[in-house]
Amino acid sequence: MSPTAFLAAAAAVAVAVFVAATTVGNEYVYFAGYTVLQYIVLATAWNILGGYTGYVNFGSAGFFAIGAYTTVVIYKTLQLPLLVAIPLCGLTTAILGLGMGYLTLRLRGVFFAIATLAMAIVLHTLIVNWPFVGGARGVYIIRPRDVAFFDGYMQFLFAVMLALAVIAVWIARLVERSRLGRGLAAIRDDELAAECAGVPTLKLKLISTTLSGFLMGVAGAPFPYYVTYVDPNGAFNLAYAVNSIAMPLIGGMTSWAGPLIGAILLGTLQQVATVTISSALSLLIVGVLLVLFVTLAPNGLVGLFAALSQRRRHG
Amino acid sequence: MEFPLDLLLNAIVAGILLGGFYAAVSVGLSISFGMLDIVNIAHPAFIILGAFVAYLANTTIGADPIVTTVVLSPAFFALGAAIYQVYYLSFEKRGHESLRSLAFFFGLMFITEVSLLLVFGVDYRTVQAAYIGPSLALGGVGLPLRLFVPCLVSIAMVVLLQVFLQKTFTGRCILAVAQNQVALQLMGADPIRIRRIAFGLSIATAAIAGAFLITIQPVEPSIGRDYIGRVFAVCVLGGMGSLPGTLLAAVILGVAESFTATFYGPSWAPAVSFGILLLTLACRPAGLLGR
Amino acid sequence: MVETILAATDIGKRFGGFVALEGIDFAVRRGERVGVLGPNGSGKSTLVNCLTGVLRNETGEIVFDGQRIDGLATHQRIRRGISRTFQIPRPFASMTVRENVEIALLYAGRLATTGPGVAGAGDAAAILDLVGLGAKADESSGQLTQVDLRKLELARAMATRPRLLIADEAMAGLSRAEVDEILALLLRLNAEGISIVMIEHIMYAVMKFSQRLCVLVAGRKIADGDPDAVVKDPEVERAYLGD
Repeated sequence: MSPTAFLAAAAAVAVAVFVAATTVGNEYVYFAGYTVLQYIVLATAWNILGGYTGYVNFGSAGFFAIGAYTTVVIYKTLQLPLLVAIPLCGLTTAILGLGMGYLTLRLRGVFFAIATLAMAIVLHTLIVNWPFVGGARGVYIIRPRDVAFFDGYMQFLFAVMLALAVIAVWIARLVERSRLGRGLAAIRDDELAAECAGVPTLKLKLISTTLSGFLMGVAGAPFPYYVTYVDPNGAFNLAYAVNSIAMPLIGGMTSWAGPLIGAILLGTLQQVATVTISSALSLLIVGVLLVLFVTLAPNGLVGLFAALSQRRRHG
Repeated sequence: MEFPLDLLLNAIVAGILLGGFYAAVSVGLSISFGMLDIVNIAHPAFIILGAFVAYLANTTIGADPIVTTVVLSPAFFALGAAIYQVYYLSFEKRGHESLRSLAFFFGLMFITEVSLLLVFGVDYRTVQAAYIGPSLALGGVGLPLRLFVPCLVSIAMVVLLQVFLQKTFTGRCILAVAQNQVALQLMGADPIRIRRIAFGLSIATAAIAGAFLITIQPVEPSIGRDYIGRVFAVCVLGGMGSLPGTLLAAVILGVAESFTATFYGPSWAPAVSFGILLLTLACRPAGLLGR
Repeated sequence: MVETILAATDIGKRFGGFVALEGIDFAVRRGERVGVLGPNGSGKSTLVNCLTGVLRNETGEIVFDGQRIDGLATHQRIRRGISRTFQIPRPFASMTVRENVEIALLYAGRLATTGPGVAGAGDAAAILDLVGLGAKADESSGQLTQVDLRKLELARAMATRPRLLIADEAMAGLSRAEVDEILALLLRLNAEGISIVMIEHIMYAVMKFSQRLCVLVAGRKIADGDPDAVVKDPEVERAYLGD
């Protein structure tokens, strides 16, 4: 399928999802659906660096939160509409990703991972100490009263996140099948051998962190309007970091479908568990699933399916 | 100018005491990450686990927090050995899988934190002991016992570990593991068993450090995250696997944080370790005492 | 056209206090076959790493095809026409044999428009046929045998369209028949105009292959010249065969 055809197909699926959601007509569907879609963007973004390039980013929550807080800053200063703010949020976190990569990617991969972990904490510290965006106490965001073409603001946010998810998955698939994607895969398999095959590894890794950072910021951009009250503990929630790693790992990391499947399954599971049991327990389930998959099914669900169908063909 | 000098001295003393505590917090990582090359980012989670075990023993039967974790350290050692076994079977044996093993420890950290959250909630917990509260005064400098006692026990623990590593056969095997596997096989030791023992030790030290933590400050489940930057900063600055280096780096971090807290405000302290970590990685990845 | 394709002069490299290379002069003429011999730890691999930019030499300069290259990153040197294989094969294990070669074609091969390459081999299939892996193009590279892995190393190196190929112990651990197979392959590549540096332990292969032989001992070059003369050099005999 060509990229354009894929984009058209994905858009058609998105429209179908949107129509289905409107027929349910329940505000909660938008609310829960938004969260799952947000995880699709986040997991897909993480996978560009983690799955395609082989570098672990533990700081997804930091990127997500900086995306959200960029919206807060824009809200308090320029008051631009959300749709204009989203690319600016992405730009901010793209620069963050580039800087992060530039500082640490010359070192061994584990140092990059450790640095991202520490970076999320430092960004948290910075936001807590910045009164303009509410500091530790947080800040309230007032949603516009109504929005054109949509039946309420929540429906609009749902549609926005749906569009972002389509774009994110489309970009991931585009990267995966491009010259860039093949270079990234070579880096993931063996960085020195890649360099010796003529792959400009540092440049490609920087592109990867920048693109991944961009999409993470985009995922966080509508967040303030979704929750209407942003505080550091909510925006920097460790759940974002865990989910963005767990979803691709459980789904499968080598293709765009993995994080998509992982996000839909885990995201829905968490929504159900949060409603029926508790949010803490639903997070515990994610943690346990992450450890189980990593130790027992290292290639995720996509890998399991592939192994199963291969066995059927041969047996 | 009497007041700033006083403040300065206090900041230095508090920093050194804090550094002694940081040495206990980081020494286990210097063993697991520095010597075994196992990137255990869940290390702080085991510190918090130790803190809550100390809390339980203290509130139910009134046991001393530090004595509790020292007595229970064999149990933590066993926990560490069991985790190593899973790690070995899932990652080391299958070949180099750094990405998934990182995710594994991240998952462990998360499970520990959420489990503690489910059991104990988000409230800050404290313990009771005779040395929490009183303070010695040397001239104008305060020496709070709740910092002084953990610092002393911590230094004793690091010194004891160093003696163990250098004087016993098992200890020398652990050091040999850090250098190369061939030397170890020449010594006739099973590398997997040696690594299991070393990892067990590292978790045991984390639990004891947890008792220090809850002696020094109130603890809640998610506080471990503040220690991720610190333990790795100390480990890298100390030269990855050198215990004297760990001690020195811990004191440097302690003094730097104490200064930051005194002169800029305590809410900035978590950024110090990150700064040190990044600076070390950028300028001198071999650490202070590295070659 | 410059007669010398590679000229490295006074190359030095230390690791902490350990001197890995000191004052190495190393030159390769166009189309030449040079053997490099030396005991373990003599600096052979460090020399390869310095020439290809995996490590940076601390002293000296490297000129390739008339231009200084010692400031360039590895991938830039590869694109200019220096290629190498690894002592321990490093395949891209998640890819097929063909995809391994395609990476090099995509990133380095298409940029080298001049210089001798594989005759008419515009694509991966031709290169794989040349090294004898044509039938295994769609197999997973992680499951190849040792000798096939060595061939894949050579195929990937060839895909970068090199003018100088450095084969770092491409035959270690192979059987006599397999050594002959790789040797024949290297001679064939050389016949197409590619200069080849062979770093090797296997005396038989080195003697059969080399037009000129260099010997490294403890980071210094102790001999350089006609292979038959070099192996009879008393200093070489002492260093290589022991006192």
